[in-house]
Amino acid sequence: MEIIPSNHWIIGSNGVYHGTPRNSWTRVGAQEYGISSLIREPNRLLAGASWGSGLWEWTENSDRWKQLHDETLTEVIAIASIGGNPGLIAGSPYGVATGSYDEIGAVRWTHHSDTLQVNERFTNAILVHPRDTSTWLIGTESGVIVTTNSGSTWKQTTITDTPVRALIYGQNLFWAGTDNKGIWCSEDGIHWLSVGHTVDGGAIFGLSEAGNSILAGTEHGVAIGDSSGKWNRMGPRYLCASVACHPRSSLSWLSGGAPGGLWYTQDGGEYWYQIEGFVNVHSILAPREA
Amino acid sequence: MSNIIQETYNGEVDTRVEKIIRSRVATNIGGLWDLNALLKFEENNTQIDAQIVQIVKKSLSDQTDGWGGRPAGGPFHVFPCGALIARWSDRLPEEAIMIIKNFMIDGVLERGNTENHWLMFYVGSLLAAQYWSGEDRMWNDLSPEAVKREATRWILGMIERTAVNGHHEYDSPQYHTEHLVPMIILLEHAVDSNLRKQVEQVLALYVADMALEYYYGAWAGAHCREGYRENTWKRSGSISGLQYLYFGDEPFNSIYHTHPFCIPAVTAKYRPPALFAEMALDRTRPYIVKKTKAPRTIYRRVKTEAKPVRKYTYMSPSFALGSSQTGLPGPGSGPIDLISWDLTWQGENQEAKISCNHPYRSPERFSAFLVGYPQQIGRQIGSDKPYLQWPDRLFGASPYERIMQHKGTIIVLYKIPPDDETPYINLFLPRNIAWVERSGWIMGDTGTGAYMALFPIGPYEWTEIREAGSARFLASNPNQIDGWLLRINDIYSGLILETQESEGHESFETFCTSRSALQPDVESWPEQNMVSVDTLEGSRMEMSYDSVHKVDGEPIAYDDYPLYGAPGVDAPLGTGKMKFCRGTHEINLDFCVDNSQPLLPIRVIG
Repeated sequence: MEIIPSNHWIIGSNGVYHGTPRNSWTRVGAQEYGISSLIREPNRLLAGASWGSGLWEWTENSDRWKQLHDETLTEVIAIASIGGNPGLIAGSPYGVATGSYDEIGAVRWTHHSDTLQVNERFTNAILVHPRDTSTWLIGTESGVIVTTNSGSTWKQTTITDTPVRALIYGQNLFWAGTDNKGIWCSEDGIHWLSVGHTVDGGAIFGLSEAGNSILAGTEHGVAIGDSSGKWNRMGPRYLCASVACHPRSSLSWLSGGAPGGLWYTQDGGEYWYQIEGFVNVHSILAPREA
Repeated sequence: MSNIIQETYNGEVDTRVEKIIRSRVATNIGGLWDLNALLKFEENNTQIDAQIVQIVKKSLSDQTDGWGGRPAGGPFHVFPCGALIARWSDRLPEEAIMIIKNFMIDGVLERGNTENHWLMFYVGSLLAAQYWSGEDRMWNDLSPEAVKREATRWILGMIERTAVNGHHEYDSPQYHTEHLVPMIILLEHAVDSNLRKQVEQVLALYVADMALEYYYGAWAGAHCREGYRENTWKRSGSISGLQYLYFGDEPFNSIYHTHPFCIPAVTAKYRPPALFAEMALDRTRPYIVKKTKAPRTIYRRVKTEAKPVRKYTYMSPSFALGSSQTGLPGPGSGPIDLISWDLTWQGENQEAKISCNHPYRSPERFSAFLVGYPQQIGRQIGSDKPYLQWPDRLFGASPYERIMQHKGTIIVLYKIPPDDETPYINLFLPRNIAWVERSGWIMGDTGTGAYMALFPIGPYEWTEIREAGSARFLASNPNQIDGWLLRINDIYSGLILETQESEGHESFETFCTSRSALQPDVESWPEQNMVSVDTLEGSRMEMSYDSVHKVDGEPIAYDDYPLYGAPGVDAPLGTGKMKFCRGTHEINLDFCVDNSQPLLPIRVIG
């Protein structure tokens, strides 16, 4: 049995919430930190928090979130799973780090990008290669950088000189959203091709696979497109920090503004409904249903 | 220095303690910090106990929303809770202890995002973990031992970093209190003897920082953070309470010497070495203070790392002029509270300070050291603190400012890009002075022993700045800011300022004649990036905007600055060893730094 019902969406706002669009939403635990990033696993939920609040884990029968950060892991912006325990990569303005438990049950973190340039350290997004957990793509303030050895060495990719805030793997391609160069895709994560943008332009904050298309959370709302380069913006205009698609319905999307609130569409973006109670939503996880 | 001198000094501090506590208790006790005064002063009785419970209950009344809501708070709650439980557990009513326990064991706590936040958070957490060491877990589902170890690592790492590289959140009239007071409580209540030893040493550095630039109730010169529109005040921030406590120097004032944040220190046993008070109060001759401080945390939107901060303050009997090489790495970096220089003399509020700045307001400014989206953060921060975007702003760093100082003379130059949102600089001048303008120089007599001359570079206009209503009480002027604002409308603007003791001149008139007869050389500005001036003392200062600064032909070696440099102070950078001497009294500090080990990196705004 999963700790969060498998048909529930999970969002990171001021705290972590789960629910379905037409029903009420329940906060997980009492925390109200600004949640930047989420991971859902069958037996646990993980939440990264900004403004110094670190990294937290929720497990079955918990009555509170467990602290996973230490004194060196601070403003967590992105997290990714690499298996194991705690089995996480955490990204912050100070770079990427991995953790291990010490003898008294606290997680101690090792940073892997201290030697990089200032803007290369600042981590906005992390994507672990789907077939190799030691290869990580990192969206930084200075493009995408890659390690193939769990952070021992780093190399630049062909996306440079622009912040990258969104990375996903979908349709057998890597996808990256940039601040001022639109959307890119790549077969190997190193060599990237521009695949355009909406006519409105603006930064890309989130990406999600939706059937045969890709959803993009842009500075001006949600956009849909693909590698052909055509992107259509639709729905309400706001800074869309996160967007996700239901795994069983490519037309059901949840979109989070920062600010702008939480929005839902069931028809691929024709009609949108605002879900009350949220102002800033930085992270959305779709239901787990296959 | 004999024990007698220290005992005499301790007695003087005790007398001031009594005044502060009596005044605080007589006015109002409202929070967890000043509750220490009540606990120290009042006898145990039912009525006082009820008052204590009410204060604790009210102070910790915030809860997270909705079902399952739990007590919530941040560093400003966590530290005083830890301090109360460590110091007054045998005096606090049981109900108050249980409220604090509920907060520390079952609350939702925030660590904050600045160095002072983290120090308060970790000190409070450590003291609570010590006290409730038998509990299975603390608020964050970790054991008390794990909480204690994490806090100890951070505090020791922060101390070592400070001893080697200099304080990150340096010399802040607002936030120095939030560094010094937690350390005092830790010194008195930490169980770990090594931690106490290191804490006692870093406390000496904190008090030395206060003493070396103390000037008649003001903290002269440059500060990492002196915001909240208070940098035209004679006394800004909460530090006045600690300055009075440790240095005396002024008649007691119940308004600005009793700040609640100072009260845990006022009620503590800690007394700093008397030597520092003597250093603070010695104005018999001018001296130069040099300090190195750690690089500012700028974590994006810049191409290179920040460099160490180099401070230079000229402490003269009748004025103090201080400035800094901020070490900022260029456009994008502009810490919001930074004060890069000021001139201070004896006088009333808003009548004894001069400073100027470029009110840099690039959209990138906030996101260089805050994690919010650059696309939104200007609006986000501006909602909470709209004055950070005001065109008349007098504080905050600009990446386009460069400074050179030699004794009482300073050159400040700006090269602002043409497309900058604020293509000008703001110069604050007090309004109580009858200014004289002659040959491009604006000159004034402080009336307290110093003459000043300012040479604005660029066309300027006299306007008024008056922001009504004070965010806090003010001693002698109810307005937040009140004075002349000289707007220098030029992207290649600047200022030359020379201050001298009046006793070296026959009269103010002769000072004006002498100064106006010596014109600075601005012919090469901005094309050749060069400005030079001959001081009335006979030195020639040559400043190249982005290159060498020379005094009498010799380049200033900023990289050679020590951690601390002043008469009687020997504190080379990077060693963790310092010596402070006065007469026969010596204080030797050795933080036993192992240079083969990396320092704890600063991963918080400092």
